[in-house]
Amino acid sequence: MNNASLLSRRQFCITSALSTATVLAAMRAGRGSLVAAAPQKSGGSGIRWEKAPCRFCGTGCHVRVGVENGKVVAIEGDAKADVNKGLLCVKGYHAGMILYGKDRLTQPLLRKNGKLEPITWDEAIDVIARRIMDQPDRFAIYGSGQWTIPEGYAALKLIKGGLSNNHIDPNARLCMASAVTGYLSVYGVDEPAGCYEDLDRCDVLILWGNNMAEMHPVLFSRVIDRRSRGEKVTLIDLGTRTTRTTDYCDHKLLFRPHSDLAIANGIAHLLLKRGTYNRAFVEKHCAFRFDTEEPSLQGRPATLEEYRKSLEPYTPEYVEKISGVAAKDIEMLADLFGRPELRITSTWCMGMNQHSRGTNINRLVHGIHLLSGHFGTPGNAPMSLTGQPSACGTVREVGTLVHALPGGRVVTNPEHREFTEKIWNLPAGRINPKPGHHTVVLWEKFCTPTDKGGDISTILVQVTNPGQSLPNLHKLFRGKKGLKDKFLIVSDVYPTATTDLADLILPASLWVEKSGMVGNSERRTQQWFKMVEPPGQARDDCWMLIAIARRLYELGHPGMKDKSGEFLFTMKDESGMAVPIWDWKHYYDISVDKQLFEEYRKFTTMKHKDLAPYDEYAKARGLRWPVVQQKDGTWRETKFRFSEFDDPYVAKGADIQFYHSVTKDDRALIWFAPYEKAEEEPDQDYPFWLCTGRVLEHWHTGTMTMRVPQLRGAVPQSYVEMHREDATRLGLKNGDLAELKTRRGVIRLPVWLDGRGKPPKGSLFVPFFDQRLLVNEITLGAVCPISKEPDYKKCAAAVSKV
Amino acid sequence: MSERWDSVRVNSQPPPERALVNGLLLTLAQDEDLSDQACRQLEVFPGLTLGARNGSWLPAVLEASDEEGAHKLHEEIAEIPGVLHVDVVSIHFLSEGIDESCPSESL
Repeated sequence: MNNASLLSRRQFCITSALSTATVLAAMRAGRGSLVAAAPQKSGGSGIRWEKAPCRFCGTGCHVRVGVENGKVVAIEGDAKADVNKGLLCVKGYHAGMILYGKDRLTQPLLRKNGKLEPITWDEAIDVIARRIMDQPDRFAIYGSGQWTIPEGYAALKLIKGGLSNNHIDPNARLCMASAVTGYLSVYGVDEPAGCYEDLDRCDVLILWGNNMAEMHPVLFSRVIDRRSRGEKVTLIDLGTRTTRTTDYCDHKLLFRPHSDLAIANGIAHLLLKRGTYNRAFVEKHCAFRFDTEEPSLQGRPATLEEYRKSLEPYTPEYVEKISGVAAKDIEMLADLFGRPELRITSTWCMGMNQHSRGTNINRLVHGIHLLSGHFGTPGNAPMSLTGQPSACGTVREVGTLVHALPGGRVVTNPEHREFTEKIWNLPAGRINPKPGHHTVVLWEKFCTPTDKGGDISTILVQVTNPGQSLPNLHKLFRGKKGLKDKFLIVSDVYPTATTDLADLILPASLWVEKSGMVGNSERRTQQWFKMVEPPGQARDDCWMLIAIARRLYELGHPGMKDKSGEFLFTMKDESGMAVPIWDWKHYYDISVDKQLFEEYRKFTTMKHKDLAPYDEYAKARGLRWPVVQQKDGTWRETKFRFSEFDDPYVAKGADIQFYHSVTKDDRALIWFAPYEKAEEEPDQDYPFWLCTGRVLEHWHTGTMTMRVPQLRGAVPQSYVEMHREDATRLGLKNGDLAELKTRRGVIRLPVWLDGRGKPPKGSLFVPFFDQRLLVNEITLGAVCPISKEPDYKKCAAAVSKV
Repeated sequence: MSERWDSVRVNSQPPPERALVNGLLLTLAQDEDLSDQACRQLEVFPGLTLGARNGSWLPAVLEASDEEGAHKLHEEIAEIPGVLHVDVVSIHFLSEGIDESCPSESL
């Protein structure tokens, strides 16, 4: 690096560092002052402003996007948005820049003799369609919670309705599946009962392995702002390392990885022992449940006495022995839950979900809230937070999962298949009743030679980066290398670790280069319109799916016709004329999003997740379902589900009604689940716990944020956090290169001591955003037996100085 | 807050060899006299560039020759009366060995 470029880089670093710090100062000073400092601009400057939800996480902040000369040139927080009221996090402020990385993919590329060569879209679509025609049952689609609602719906309809194939799963299997199985087994229906207003109303916020200050900073600011206004909010950090969130907490309880199961049981034990549980709430609204020998969503009925007896071993002293959390702190937590006058909200994200007993820890935390009656009033809520903009809206509601059909239906249920076939106008029996391979198995099969049982031969990947985000990458992704009959198709916006092995690359439109709809963590469905053109030949993912379907139709695939012989994705304009939307020139002649959404809406009432018409979302900054039409014709959203005071589906006089109860008696289930050891724990050869996760500046695998100079400059590469005493013992100083070894492999990366996160002795933390330092080459891949979600938070590792 | 990213300010100071640049967020005392006094000391603190104060929070950028030097300076800043916390909010490595290219640019 010469002196001139170093000078320039240094100047850039200073500017971006100050920018980051200034934004954070404004956040800490409170939303009010930030909004005051940044009045919303209107027209006059030549910039056209439009609304969109942020592209990144599941918070669902709305941004105002400034467009000038066909380019996004400015971003503002949207003061009209309930979620963020004008505030954004550092990623959100830079969201516009993700469109303009210099290495955007701009044309289809096909690998020929090992080299990627440009081809036309017609050729690309034809290659895909012929692969599918050749082996339709060995084709799979792998998507994500970044699919918009119409995209996910189109993918589901294509593969399940058109190909009678259920091999479709999303990357949300890697992050939210345990939350889903937790909600389903406790309430009989997915997604939180409460909303973000619980954060505004709670007296106590318990963060279960949840670094909200970095992962959901705008939500965290809602809580911290209350403090700056003089309100008392007690924050409790239950985690396995000290994070930026910990700095704000009144109680910092570090626990041994995986022992959260014991902590939750310890709290429940004391509530029963002391008689401080909410007897009236439990008797009226709850029933007890134990798992069966083969873990399942339904389990078996149990009595309060059985439940009490199973909890007896979990004394504060025993829990301290397992978890390392002092007995007095377990008592403190039970004291809080035993006080009915307090409003208590629990939040969690990957700490509880990426857990080889993820469903169980979700069940236990819901159970504490139910047992103590801290449920169903503003501020009293157990709430999982999502990491992707539409993990809820697309994956969980549309149902882009191997076992699911739209609106909470499942392929194994004949009535659900029949209803879906009716809406899609398909012949009876078209939908396959057997669930496909879930994510981990799907990739394992893809990476296994066909003659050895690898029954997936072609995967279409959209809006995700499994080459970086899957666990145990050598086995689950790199295994594809050299397998001649396997074919990987990747639609993305930038080259990634996944495109490295792709046989066919499709350049995709990104964020406001297309229209879209997403659903956030609090059941809020959001919409935006296309604002700028995608670069080069990049096209919408939804168009790709429809174009593939059309080519299959032309090739004579019978599944691409409905019962009337019409193309599966026939769409008509206002005059009733069919529009050839598979031809890119005509794709935006009509609103494909609107037509797909209006069809999807018909599925949403069965689980009382009613959605409003498309045009209502175009006007709003999102609406929380169930959205129910009022007598005056307006549409009313629901903030607090299952609660009579707000949810129109709760019977009068019921107070609380779990109307999708597993047991069909309007009761929620309080589960018992024992503490069990992690799948892999430290030992003599691998003496450290290894945990992986995210950082504030980068979003997931860094594909987009690493293209933003300010964000990339802030945290330019991955690192390993470790305790200073461990480092000293191993002869490691800050910045030294360390070698991390697990039973799956080895990576080398610099050490960061006393930095932003501080693991306790014997623990390591590595973020996964850096494609050059793939921590998932060494993670374990053990899954929760119910949700099938892998545990990325624990495995055994060894460290040495390089 | 609106941000246009085509207007990056530059600083013409010559770089120290193998420099580190850390973004900091300082939390200042509620007591106005004490925090003002701290700001005056911080303004002349070597290697420190200050941003605009926002209530009790002051953004800053610290340049240091190496990690050890940075750690020492962080401690010195934290010891200034009126400074309650020093949070590192960003890190920039200027040392050799960091790949400046985007991942997979070789495609």
